[in-house]
Amino acid sequence: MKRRTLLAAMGASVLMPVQAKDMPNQAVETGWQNWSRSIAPQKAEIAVPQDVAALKKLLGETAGGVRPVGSGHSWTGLVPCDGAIVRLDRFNDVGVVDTQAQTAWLGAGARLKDLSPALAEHGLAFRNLGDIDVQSLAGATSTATHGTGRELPCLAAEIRGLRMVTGAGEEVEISAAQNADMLPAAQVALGALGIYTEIQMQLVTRHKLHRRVWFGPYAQVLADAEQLWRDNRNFEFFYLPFSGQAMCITHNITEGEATQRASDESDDGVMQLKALRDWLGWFPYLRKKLLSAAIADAPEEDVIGESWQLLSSARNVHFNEMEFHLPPDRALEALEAVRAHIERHRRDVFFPFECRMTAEDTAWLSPFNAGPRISIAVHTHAPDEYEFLFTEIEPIFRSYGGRPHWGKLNRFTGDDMRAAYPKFNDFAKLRAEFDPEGRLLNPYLRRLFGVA
Amino acid sequence: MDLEKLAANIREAYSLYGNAGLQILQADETFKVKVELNPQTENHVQMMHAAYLFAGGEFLGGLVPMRHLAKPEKFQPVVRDLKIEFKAPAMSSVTAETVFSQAQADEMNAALEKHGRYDFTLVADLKDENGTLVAQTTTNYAIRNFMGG
Repeated sequence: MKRRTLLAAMGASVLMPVQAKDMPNQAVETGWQNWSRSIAPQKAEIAVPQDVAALKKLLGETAGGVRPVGSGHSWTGLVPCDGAIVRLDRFNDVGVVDTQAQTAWLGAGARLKDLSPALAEHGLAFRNLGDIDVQSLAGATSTATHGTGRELPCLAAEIRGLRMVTGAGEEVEISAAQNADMLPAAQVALGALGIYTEIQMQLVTRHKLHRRVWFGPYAQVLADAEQLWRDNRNFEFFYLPFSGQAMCITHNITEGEATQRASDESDDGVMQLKALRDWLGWFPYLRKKLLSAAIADAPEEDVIGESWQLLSSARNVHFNEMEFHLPPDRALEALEAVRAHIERHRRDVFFPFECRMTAEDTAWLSPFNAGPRISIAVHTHAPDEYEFLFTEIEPIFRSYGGRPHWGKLNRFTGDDMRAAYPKFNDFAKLRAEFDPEGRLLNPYLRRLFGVA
Repeated sequence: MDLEKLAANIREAYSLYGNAGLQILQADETFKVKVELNPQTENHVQMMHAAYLFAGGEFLGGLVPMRHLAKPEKFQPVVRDLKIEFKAPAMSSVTAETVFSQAQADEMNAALEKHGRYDFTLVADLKDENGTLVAQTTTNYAIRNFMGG
């Protein structure tokens, strides 16, 4: 068994605002905030347990709620608690790799961006990734984080096994060998059943992708979207508000030679969109004209590279985000309703809307169970107010049957989740069995699960 | 903001400014634009036509909000009135220049935040290539939430 420590030399991710010292169970810092800083600094102590024994001790000894945190890339209230916020930086190894079955046990706290090159050394890769890969494996899977692709499920659907310390402080394995029937409940679990320490992932053969990026008229992209999803392994598009233009991205597996990729200038592009908003927010015609001119100047991209190097990238411009997953037959209609509303009433918006597709899976709390979904995300610049996302945009998504991303802005209540997820009550029951004392509950989860 | 790209798009979007070969030379606290003398901007005695002098002076009142409006999605400027005094024949291209300080910008944004309205006056000097004052505009602008957003 080859084990490889991925992050031994790393402290916290650069995206974490707080550095915690490397001491078992010792809470040494407070002030945790999420990446966009939409959540106020927390008073709860931050703990970095070194092993399972330390984690169990922490759960046993901490007064108040205990919540795991990944890279802090979520906006919902999954993390804030009054006891301890647990970082799993020490659970970051690549464990048992089965190259035959193409599975690997991976440290739950390892970052996706660090796991990908490590897996490549075994000739393996994640089947798909989201467009951000700084998340921890547990964080990304527990919130049903996804990429895009008509035939590609979310990351959590690739989970084949889990090891955790439950809220009751017990070590539990869910895998083909043990408690297999619980796997669909545990794949997307919000950190509410236990704190995951290792996750066994189904992987695929390491592969290269051919990436193409181009702009097209929004109306044409809408008309072609279904075909583009059918014809390409990965397809997504971004609508640039107030431009009438969309940026399309496809990825397809190739045996071709890797080519040089120009530096990723998406952050610069976003700041250009901001500049146009700042200067011409009061002058839509001229704003659209300059946007069109900028788009006409934007070079198309046509490159070949390792899958993880092309699918994901860092996002350095901080934003807040709402994303809903919608039934495919109504999603583009919903996108059009959102576009029309924003362009009529919200001239402050400049971040592109993102539109992706994810295949069906069977996880109880996966937004993609019972059918594939098209996901539509609306972003706002982190310093800008975003209340309108709840009051103006969420109602549109709701009216089209949307389910919110578990980690992104939404005001779904427990009743809303119950209505959206047929297995929600079953999950709530299981949660109570795994965590009878509510050690892993915080105010957000208490409201969600109706626990006083 | 790339001022040359901004000007290029404005020239393309509006034939008035296209004819004038509008250039935006500065937009910080000093605002300066240039209007060309060419066959399309000349009058019958080969001086710059009054309309283009007017256009150069008036344009500055759009450039100020572009540069300084804190909530451009909410408020829009319009001209209330413009007075132009012709001081000398404009026999060359002309530069229109005015000043709107950061302190004024702060005052503008504070007033908009508090009252939802702000009025301001710009006095612009229009000078030819020799530095001769050829015209002076005094323009009153109003900024409001005209679109109700």
